[in-house]
Amino acid sequence: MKPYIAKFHSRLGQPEVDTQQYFENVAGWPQSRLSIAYVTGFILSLLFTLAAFTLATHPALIFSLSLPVVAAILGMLALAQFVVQLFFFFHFGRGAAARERFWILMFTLALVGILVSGSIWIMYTLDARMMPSPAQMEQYMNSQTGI
Amino acid sequence: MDTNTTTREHEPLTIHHTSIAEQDLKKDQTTFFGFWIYLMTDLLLFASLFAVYGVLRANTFGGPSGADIFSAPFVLTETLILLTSSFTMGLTMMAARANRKPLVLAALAATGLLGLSFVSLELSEFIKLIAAGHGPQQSAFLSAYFTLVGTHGLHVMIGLAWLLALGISIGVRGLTRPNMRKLLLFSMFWHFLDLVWIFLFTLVYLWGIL
Repeated sequence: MKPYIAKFHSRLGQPEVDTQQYFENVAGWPQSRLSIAYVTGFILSLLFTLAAFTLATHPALIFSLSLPVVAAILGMLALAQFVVQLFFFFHFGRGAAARERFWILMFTLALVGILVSGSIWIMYTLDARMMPSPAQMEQYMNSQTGI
Repeated sequence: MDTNTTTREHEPLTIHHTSIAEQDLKKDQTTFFGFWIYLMTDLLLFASLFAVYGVLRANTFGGPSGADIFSAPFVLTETLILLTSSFTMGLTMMAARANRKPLVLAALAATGLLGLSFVSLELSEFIKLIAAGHGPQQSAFLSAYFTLVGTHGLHVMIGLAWLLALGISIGVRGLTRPNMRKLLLFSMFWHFLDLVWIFLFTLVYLWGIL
C-alpha cells in the first residue's frame, strides 16, 4: 500500500487502537493505578469539601477562631484539594511529558498570582496613589509660597 | 541505476508502514500538549475574572452582599454534583481503557446528567437573583459575580455540548483512535472545570458567607 493510501485508509476506516496502552502512550498516564487514583482523588476531594463547608458554616465549632484565620484555613483546604485533583484526576506523575505540563502549569500559576494579588493590592491602595484633588493642590501651593 | 530506484521504492514501504502509527501517536501527543496550553490560557481568563471579583466584591452600592444572597447548603449541593461528575468522568476513562464501549457510554451519560443538573441549579440561582431585582446591573459586586460564575457555567454548557457530540461519535464509530483522543482531551476539560470550581466554592461562596 502506498503511504498516502494507507493514511487515507486509516482516516476513513478509523482503525482499532490498543485502548489499554493509549492513555499511557499519549498522555503518560500510569498503567496500573488509574482506578485507585480516581477513587482516592474522589474521596479526598469529598473530605476537603465537607471540611471546608463545615468550617465555613460553623466557624466556632472546634476552636473559637477569628474570621481571618478561618478564611486562611479555607484557602489552604482549597489549595490542598487543587493539588489532590492535579495528582489523581490529571495524573501528574513521573515522565518527561508530565514534567513538561507541570512546569507550564507552574509558570501559569505564577502569572495568576501576579495578576490577582497585583490587581487587588493596587486597587485597594488606590487612594494613596492618586493625584490630589484641585482643591488640595491649591491648598498645597498656597502653603508653599515659593512655587 | 536500476537497482538504485528499486531500493528507493522499496524502502518507504517498510518504513512508512510502521511510522504511520508512530506519526499518529506523535500527533496525538502534540494535540494533548496543545490542549494543555489552551487550558492554561483559560486559567488566565478565570484568574482575571477572579481579580475583578476580588477588587469589586465589597462594592455593593446599597444592594445585597455575598452573605445576603449565598446559601451554603445550595452551593454544597452544586459542588458535590460537580465533584461526582468529575468522578464519573474518571469511570468513563477507566471503561475506555478496558475497551468496554457500553460502560463508556453509560458513565459518559451519567457525567452529562450530573453536569446538566449542575447547570440547571446555577441557572435557577441566577433566575432567582434577577427576579428579586439583584441582577448584574444592580451593583459592581453583582456584575463581577455574574461574570465570574456565568463564565464557568458557560464552560460547563459548552462541555455538555461536546459531551453529547462525543457520546454520539463513540456510539456510532466505537472506541477508535480519534475517539480515544477526544475522550482524553474532554476528560482534561471536565476535570479543569472542577478545578476552577474549587476556588469559586471557597473564595466566592465560603469567604462570602463568613
